[in-house]
Amino acid sequence: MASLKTATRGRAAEVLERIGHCVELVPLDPNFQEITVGLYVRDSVAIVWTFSRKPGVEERMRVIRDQLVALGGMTAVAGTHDKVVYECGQLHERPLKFLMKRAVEKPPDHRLPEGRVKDLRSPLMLDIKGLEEDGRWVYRVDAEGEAPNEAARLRAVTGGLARYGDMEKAGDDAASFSCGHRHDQLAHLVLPFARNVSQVEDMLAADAMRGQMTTGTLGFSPPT
Amino acid sequence: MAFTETMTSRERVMNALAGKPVDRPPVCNPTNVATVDLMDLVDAPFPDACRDPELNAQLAATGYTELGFDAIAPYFTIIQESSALGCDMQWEQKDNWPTVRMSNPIWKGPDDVKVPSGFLKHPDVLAITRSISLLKREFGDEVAIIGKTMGPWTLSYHLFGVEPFLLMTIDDPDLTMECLNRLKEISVLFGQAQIDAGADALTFPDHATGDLVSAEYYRRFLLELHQEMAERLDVPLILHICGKTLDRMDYIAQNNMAMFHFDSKNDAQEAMDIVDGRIGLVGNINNPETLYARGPEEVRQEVYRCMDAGVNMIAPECAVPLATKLENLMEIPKAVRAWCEDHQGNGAVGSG
Repeated sequence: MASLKTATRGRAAEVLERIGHCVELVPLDPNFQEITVGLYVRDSVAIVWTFSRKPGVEERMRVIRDQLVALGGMTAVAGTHDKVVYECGQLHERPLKFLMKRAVEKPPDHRLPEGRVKDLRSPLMLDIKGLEEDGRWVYRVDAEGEAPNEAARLRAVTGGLARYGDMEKAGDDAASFSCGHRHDQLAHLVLPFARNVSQVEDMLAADAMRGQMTTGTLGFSPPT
Repeated sequence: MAFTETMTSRERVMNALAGKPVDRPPVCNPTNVATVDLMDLVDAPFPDACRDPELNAQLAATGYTELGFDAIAPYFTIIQESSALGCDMQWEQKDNWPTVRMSNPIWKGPDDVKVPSGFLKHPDVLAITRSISLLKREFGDEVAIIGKTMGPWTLSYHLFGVEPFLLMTIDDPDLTMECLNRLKEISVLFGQAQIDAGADALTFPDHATGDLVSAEYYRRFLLELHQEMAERLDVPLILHICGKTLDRMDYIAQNNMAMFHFDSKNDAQEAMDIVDGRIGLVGNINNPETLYARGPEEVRQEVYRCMDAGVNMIAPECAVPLATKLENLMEIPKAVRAWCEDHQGNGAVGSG
């Protein structure tokens, strides 16, 4: 057995000094030996990182980084296998969490579905269409089909985009990213989450409770 | 002016547990600080790290070598004894806690309480005792090794099932006491084995939490029993009860244990006022909202609030969530040192 004292001593602190703060931690990578993968940020550059040293992790980081590009429209930093940026210079951390989770947990060839998505609270089929307005790229929620509550649903979905996309509302059915730039893939990634806030909140709460030790999770009292 | 430490981690923890002066409050989680990142760092994932002594020691050591805490606590979970006693186990994956399937209890009453002859040789018991030996051999007097033995109240939940046990406390208090008195021998047996292996102190989880039972339950069923544990186990004991406990802290302060590991559901200053020096306090930094979901700045604020209140050892309120970000855990010792630098010379630093 390696020395307990010196096997890794201080390595985690050295690494964090270099890669910055953690935006999202995915505890279990189902596509590569159940390693833990984090997305870290330093100076507006996002870095895909794992503390695992299993053979093949560098290639796995490259695959995940490439998925951030394919699914989220990020740009790979030249000459690296693990770094990405958004050209706008911002990182849009809230939607980046959803993007990172998908990049790790879905198969490496996973792509965002094309076309409209079904609204979960009405018969409407939803899409978002971007256009430039007053120097900002604005995404308008577009509905196909008929529903008595269409206006309310568009308002709610726009609220969802603001909530999970860190977007700013630009009317009842439109929103733009805070940078004002065009991020089509990110907007399409967020849309399925935006259509049902309560369900997404339940999912996030369930994710958060996994690995927590409380009287509730131990079964010693009703979960809170 | 930079704050200068004058004690080893072990001296600091042992002095704090004994109520003696310290150069600064120790950072010491009596339960667990292992996370999924640390598991990767030393290639010792759950559940294997709960069952293999070498993996256990590798992972436990990171609490000191990587996070900078003043203690190492190798018993990460609360299920080792229950597994060895034959409970139906769910070992889970790397990112979740092993649990006992309490809906499928193995015992019904005191006559069932029998310790298997090979209990101390069971792999899930040896995982802890051998790990403690390895850690003690490697670290010696450098850092405190904190073992853990489950109290009879928690063992009852696992072995009899939560609901049947709580109903028993209502229907037949004498039978309940008989169960607890028999089960406490398991607490002593496993606790003593860890002391023999080199543990400097023992955490004693016994979940008579305010979320489930009244303060009167603590006085009636557990106070004397805990006093007996403090007498029989010859190392400092740290009682751990999750949840709301302010209403029973006056009783807890009379149990003769060294410290009480308390939950963030209890106001730190109010808790300090109630115990009034009769027992030390450790913990109180919120897990689900602060350590898991926020950032280092919020962690620092919570550490400062505990330090301002005079909490004796600084720690998360319970076992940390397995997906806690390392930067948040590393902030705890940094914040303690920063607070000490801010308060040098005003008499706040160095008290016991």
